Amino acid sequence: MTVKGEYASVGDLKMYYEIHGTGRPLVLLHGAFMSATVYPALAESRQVIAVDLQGHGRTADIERPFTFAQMADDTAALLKRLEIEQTDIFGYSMGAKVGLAMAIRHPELVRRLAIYGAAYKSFEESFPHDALKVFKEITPETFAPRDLKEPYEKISPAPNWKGLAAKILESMKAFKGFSPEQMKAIKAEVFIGAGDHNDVSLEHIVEMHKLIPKSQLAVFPNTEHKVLMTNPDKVLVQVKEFLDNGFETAAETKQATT
Amino acid sequence: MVLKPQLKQNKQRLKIMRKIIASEFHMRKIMNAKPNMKTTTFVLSILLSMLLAGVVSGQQKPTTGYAPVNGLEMYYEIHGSGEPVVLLHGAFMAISGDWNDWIGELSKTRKVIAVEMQGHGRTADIKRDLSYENLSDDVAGLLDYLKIPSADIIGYSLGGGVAMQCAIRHPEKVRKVVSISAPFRRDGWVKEANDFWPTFTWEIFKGTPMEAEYKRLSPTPEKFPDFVNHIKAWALRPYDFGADKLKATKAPMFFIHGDADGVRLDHIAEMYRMKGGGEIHGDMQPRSASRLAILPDTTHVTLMNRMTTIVPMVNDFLDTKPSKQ
Repeated sequence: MTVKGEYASVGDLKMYYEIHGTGRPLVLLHGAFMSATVYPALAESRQVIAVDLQGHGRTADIERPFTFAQMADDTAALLKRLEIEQTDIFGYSMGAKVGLAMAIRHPELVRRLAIYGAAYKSFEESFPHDALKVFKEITPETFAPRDLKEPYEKISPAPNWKGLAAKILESMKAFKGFSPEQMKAIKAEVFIGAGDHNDVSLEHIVEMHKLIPKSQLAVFPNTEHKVLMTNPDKVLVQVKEFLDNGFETAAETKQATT
Repeated sequence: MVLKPQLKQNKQRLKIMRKIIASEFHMRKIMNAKPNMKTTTFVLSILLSMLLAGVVSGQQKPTTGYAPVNGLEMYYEIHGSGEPVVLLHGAFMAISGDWNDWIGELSKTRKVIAVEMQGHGRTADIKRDLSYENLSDDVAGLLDYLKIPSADIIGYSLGGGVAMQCAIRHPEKVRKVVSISAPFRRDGWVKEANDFWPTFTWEIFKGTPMEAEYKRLSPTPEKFPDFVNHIKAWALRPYDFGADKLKATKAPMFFIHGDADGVRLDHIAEMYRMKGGGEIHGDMQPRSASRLAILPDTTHVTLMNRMTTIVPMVNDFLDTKPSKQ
């Protein structure tokens, strides 16, 4: 069955989204440079709402910087339009930060939030030292991985790779992080996923787990940031279990171990 | 075969365990209202979980024996064939119950040498301190006795500590280490776990399946209180393998934990960092040979129920060839 994508006007943005299946809603938030990705492992018995965030995929960019807060507000506005009052969310990388921003800014909307590959602090404060050096050398002119660039240019209504890269890098550098207080105030149940070879230091992931009251932590062995693009099920089997079941055993002992 | 299928007995044990677990959950509810008692349930639940009866499946007959090692008559079983891997149980455990399932699963592709460490199961206690050092020397001695030059070592809880100690004290004998839910220093355990031991007496196990299992397996069935007290004495002693010594080990290590398993997450991060992990962006840099897994919503006890998740991870780790530098 092919699913026809739709557009919704959200402020000045014409936001692209797809709806697949029926069941409890699940919003999927893609990573930087990516577009709506419906993972089969998560789609079963769910109403999946996959979106293209500002300037990504089929959602054309507008004159406004990228911020995680703005992307969260866009997605919240779309859900309102779709008359979805509460949803689960899976966010990957940039989408994970948008998911956190949704849990912070629109707490009533988010039941369970699963994230993979994200930090809550600024990149400066959360990237491993060597990775940060590499990251700082990236420029819009030099950064052009084919596995991201080609799909983007194929579906964007107004492709401008360098413009997109510039805005993403700018948004990463401008991000000051969420505050510990904001993290502590998150009401949603949160699954924090990371690889043991991730782009965020392990101590930072642990800190995030300690701050978010109802959170569980999953670290996947021999796993990197990109795993969602290469072998998503490695992570998503656990994510699915969380989204469907939430906490079962360890919630009450978390206090003791952190 | 030492472990005969004992379906009827297993069923009965399961029934007893269910009752105990049900009352344990009930206790936990009460104890949540009294946080000072929480620690007792925490450790109790660790201990009880070790007794969950698993159905012994009709697998190939293992080789069994007693190895004369450092004054011990150390009981071992060898299952399957392939690369050798030593399997080390946790405190109060033996080759019994759930542990048999792990042996069965791992021995599908490798030669599993399951042991019963000093005082545990069929290995009688001797007049010697229980310590990580002594027990790791026993493992090395057993490998000598079996004429196995080197092996992988998998340990759970106390056995995980012994496995790390093997890599520190007997580097030439250890290929890779899998440590499940074990810290390398006393303060790696959460405070609640350390606070528990001084209040602990052997009577806590009186009439439990743990006591029954001890009496069934041990060559000295009357010495259950002594055995428990011996472990208690060990548990009260401070220990620290030394971060520098862990760091100096050559064997790649795979640390497997639950996000609520009684080992402090900061300690887990520290341990992984000692082995070169925690700061590597796998998309941009070469991997460390060591690995880390943290299972969500999982405790020290429930890690034992995650066999189907853990064993494939372990096999992948053990089967990975070292990358060429």
